[in-house]
Parts: sequence; structure tokens; C-alpha cells
Amino acid sequence: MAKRRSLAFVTLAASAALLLSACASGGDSSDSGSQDTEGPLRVGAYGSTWTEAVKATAAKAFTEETGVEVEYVEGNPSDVAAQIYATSAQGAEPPVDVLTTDDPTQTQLAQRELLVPVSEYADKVEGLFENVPTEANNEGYAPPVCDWYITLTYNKPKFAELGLPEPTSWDDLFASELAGRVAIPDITTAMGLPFIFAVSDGEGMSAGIDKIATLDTYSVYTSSGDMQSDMANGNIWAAATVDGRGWGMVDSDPEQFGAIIPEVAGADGKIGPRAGSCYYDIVKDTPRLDLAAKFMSHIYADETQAEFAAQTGYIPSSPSAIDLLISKDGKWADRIPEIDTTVPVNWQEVVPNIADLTDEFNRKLG
Amino acid sequence: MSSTRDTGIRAPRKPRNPFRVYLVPLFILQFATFLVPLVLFFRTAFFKNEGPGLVDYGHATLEYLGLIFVDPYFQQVVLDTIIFGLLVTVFTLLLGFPIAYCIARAGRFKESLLVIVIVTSFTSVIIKVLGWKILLGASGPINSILQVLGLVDEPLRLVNNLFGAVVGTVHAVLPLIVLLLVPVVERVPVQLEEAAAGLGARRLTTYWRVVLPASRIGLVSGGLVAFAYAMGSFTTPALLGGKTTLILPILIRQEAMTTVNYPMSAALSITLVVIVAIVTVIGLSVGNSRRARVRESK
Repeated sequence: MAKRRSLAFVTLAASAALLLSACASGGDSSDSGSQDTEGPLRVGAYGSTWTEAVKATAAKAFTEETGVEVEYVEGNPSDVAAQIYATSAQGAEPPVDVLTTDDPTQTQLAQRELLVPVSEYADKVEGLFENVPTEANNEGYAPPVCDWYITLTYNKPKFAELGLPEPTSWDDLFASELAGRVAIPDITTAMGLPFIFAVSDGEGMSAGIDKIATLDTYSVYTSSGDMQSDMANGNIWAAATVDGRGWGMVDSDPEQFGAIIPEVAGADGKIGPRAGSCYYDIVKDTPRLDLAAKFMSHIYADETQAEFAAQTGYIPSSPSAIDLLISKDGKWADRIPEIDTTVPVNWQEVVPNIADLTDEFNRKLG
Repeated sequence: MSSTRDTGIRAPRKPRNPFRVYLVPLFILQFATFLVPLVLFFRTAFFKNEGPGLVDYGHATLEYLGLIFVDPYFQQVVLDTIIFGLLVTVFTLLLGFPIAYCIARAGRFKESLLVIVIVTSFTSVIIKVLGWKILLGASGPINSILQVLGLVDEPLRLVNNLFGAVVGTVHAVLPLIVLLLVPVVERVPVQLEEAAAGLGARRLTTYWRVVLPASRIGLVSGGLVAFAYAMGSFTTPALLGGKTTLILPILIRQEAMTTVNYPMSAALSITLVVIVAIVTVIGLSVGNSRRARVRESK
């Protein structure tokens, strides 16, 4: 009997301890107004090669300077943003201090005032606004750190075998010889909306979805790593993907893979789309604003942008970073288009309709 | 069954289980970390969505639940989810029961075979899915063999559709169901099979007409577990099912994480839970009535 009581007590105590630890808030809590200088700094990043490149460049320099470690919350910007919405609604600390954003995510978070305006930390970040040719997506928030495009990546030997010329426009993806062997990004991915724009022929996003619905796809992928695996295995012969992934595949096997930024129909010969930019934004209510600003200094430095591009294929926004990149490897001179020759996605028009477009995409392709 | 009324003799009290107290922490944990968040989440289904992550708790509505009933798109998603669940259940039982039977009757090899089954479940779902993507791919080994043998001219579409999703999910849940069914088969007395053999029944006949009927209750329970697993399955159907396999778990995730429409996501979640609950109640009723008939026949 006594043994049973002891066992019951131990079980109850262990369970209570487990419950209390589960209920405890994560990370260091700081008094309101005081800054956490110990870290770790939590950065939201895409994952895979993106995170590895951040670790090797900005995060390494940041940690060497401050002694503070960086932790990563990996996922598409929209996925991490969903966590920010949830914590904001509860009045809790955000899950990340710095977030990689894309145009729609930055727009949505900025509209909800969940990002720290640049004016609150610009004096702590060196060179943040220097030489950035593309306008900030959202006035008052972080400028772009890299610009990205949607490329058409293809299997060169297979195209030759099928008698297909090397692709030049997005319509080449619809060739009958490629039926059942093309992959396109799902609308839930960062590439999804720009791809719909790319094939819309300038007639609106719904027209783009209608056109995609006629395409006989092998897969509508949610992970570009998945797409790359399928292309390497020979399951797909052509795919729409982000330029970083496309150039990376070409670099890994230039005999097997080719990539281009195709012509966009209805755009007077311009290529693209210039899907947008990537940004790093500091999240509102972070207790590590100073550390986050220090991290931003590193992530926006030209050396970081050039090295990041070399590792991931994502083109820097800063012209001086582009010059640095080309000086290190001349192949980038052919890969980086002149801004005036490209078609940008109009995110201010697209973002308000994301929910409806997602619903329409699922209904027509599901 | 005798009662106090019939005989005037009070039935002896069942001895109290002294270990019931150890269930209390489990119930507290389940209540605090599962039931409460679930109820709070379900509550959002009855309020208006104000934008990404914003719910207007002052504006009650049945709009989202209503949409699921009246919109053909959502009706199709619900139907596809149920079909997916049923397919996984049927094929898991079709494959799992014979495996469980072989293991249960394997004599001294039983433990080794059980270890093999358990070890297969150590592999992460992602690794299994990647393996299936390679096997089932258009240029994968299965299609290559079929083309070399001249059985097909063009590769079969075995992945990024319902077929791929079912194959992957069956593979994922099979070890669990086999482990559940082995004791079910063990409860079927070997003497019954011997008696059937003595009466001239072949092995297949004995299996079909003796072992299977005797295991019906266990099969229902195993089927319910497989169905519940399939209905809640996300990773495998998302990666192997492609865009055409849009089932409730995938749509729930999309509504929560992409469009961040919590009320719609909650409404879909309630639908999923209700479907599983209804099927479970029906399955348990079938099992209980079968159990009652077996008791009466004794």
C-alpha cells in the first residue's frame, strides 16, 4: 500500500512537472522595455540551401562579432508569418526575431503592423538603403536583399531527344511532347503566384489559372527540393522554379540541365517574371531589437549578398554586390538581366486576392 | 445473465483496480494539452474571419460550416477524404491480416517476425515517402520493368494521384495494424483449424471460413484504427497524392497556414472529427453486437 502511494505520488509529480514545462513560455523572457543581449537570435529562413548559406555568411559573421548564436525557424515566409499571427493574437512573444519575407508576406505583415519600421533601426544598420534599385515593396519597411525570378528549368538531353528547341518562352512548357512530364509550383509556395502571373498572358491571374488547368502536369509541387529530385530522376523534363534552384541545378550538371528566364507573353518581349524580392524584416515585439539590427547589418552587406548568391543562385539587389559577384565569377553576367527588360509581378494588386486565388486554384486543379 | 432480481442473491462486487489512480495524470494532461486547445480552436468555426489570423468573436456565424454542406467543392473534398480513408482501410486489412496470421502461426519464428515488423516502423515517414516517389516515378523501376516487359507503352501514373497516396499511407500504417491483428489471430484456437482440416477443408477454405469469421471483431477494431489514421494523415497524401488528391487534412492545413482563415480551418476540422466519430461509433456498434451474439451463442 505504501509502495503504491509512493508510486502514485511520483507519477503525479512527474506529470505536473511535464505539464508545467509544456506551459512555460519558450525562449528568454525579458521585462518590457529591456533588451535581451544574450540571445539566441531566432531567424526565420526558407530552409535547405538558403539556411545553409545564411549560416555560412551572415550568421557566422554575426556570431563572431557578438558571441550570440543564431537559431532557425525554417519554412516558407507565409508559414512562419502564420505563427506570427497566432502569437500576436495571444499577445505572446513572436516566434522569430528576424524573418525572411517575400513580397506578399511583407505586405500582409506590414498591413497588420507586425513588422518593425525601418525608421526604428536604420541608424543601427550600415548601408541599408544604399544603391538598391528596386523600390521597397512596402514604404517604411526593409528594402530587398535579393531579387528573384521564375526560371524554366529543363532536361537538355531529353529536349534534344524529343526534337524540341531550347525553350524561350513560357508557352514552351505547354508543348504536347512534354505532356505528363512537367512540374509547376503549387500556389501555396513562394513561386506559385508569380508562375500564374507568368502564364497569364497579361490577362489577369484567373486567366493564368485557367491556362494552367489545361497543362498536363506530372506534379504540382510544394517543395522545390522535391521537384529537383524528380528532375534528377528523370521523372520530369521541364519545370517552373525559382532562379536560385534553377541555376543551382545547372551548376551541378550543366550537361543535363538548362535554365532560362523566359519571355512573358503579352509583355512586349520582356522576360520574367521578376517574381519579387526577398527581404529581412525585424518582427514587432521582439525583445532582441539591437541584436536583430546587428544581424541585418551583416545580411545586407555586399560581401554577404555576393557570397549568398554564389551559394544559392539568388541575385543580389545591390548593384555593388552584383559587381562583386560578377568579379568573382563571370558566369553571373549572363544570368542577371537588366531590370528594364523584365516584367515585375504587381504584388499590390495580387496580395488582396490571395485567399480567392488559392481557392480558385484548388477548385480548378484539384 | 442473472441479476439480483432474478435470484435474490447480490452479484459479488468487482474488486477495485488499485492502479486507476495512475490514469489521473494522463487525463489531466489530455484535458489541458489536447481537449482544451481543441475546443478553443473549434470555437473559432462559429465566428467571422476578419483577415489573416484575425477572428471577430463578436460576430457569430454558421457560414463556414454551412459552406461545407452546400458548396459542391467542399462536398467533393469530404467525399474524396472518406474514399481515401476507406481505400486505405480495406487494403491495409487485406494485406495486414494475412501477415498477422502468418506471424501468429509462425511458432518459434514469431518473435523474430514481430521484431522485423516493429523495426520497419522505425523508418521516418519522409524516408518512406521519398522511397515511394522513386519507386513509383515515371522513370522509376516499376515503370521501367513494365516497359521492358512490353506490358505498357507509356509509363503508368503511379504517383501524384490517389493511387500513390493510398500506397504510401497503407505502407505507413501497415506495421501498426499487423501488430494489432496478431493477438486477434492468436485468440482463434488452433484446434478449430485442425478440426476443419480434419473435415477435409483446405488451408484457404479454413482461413476464409474459420479464421476470418472468428477474427471479425478484431478486424473491425483494426479497421477503425486504420481509418482514423488515414483520415488524419497529411504528409504522405500531400507528397504522394499530388494536387488531385485534395483531402481534408491538406485543406485544413492550407486554410490555417496559407490563407490563415482560422474559422474555415476549424470548420473543416470539426467535419473531419465528426466523420471519424460517426464511423467509429458505427464500427463499435457492429463489434459490440457481434460480441453480444457470440456471448449468447455460448
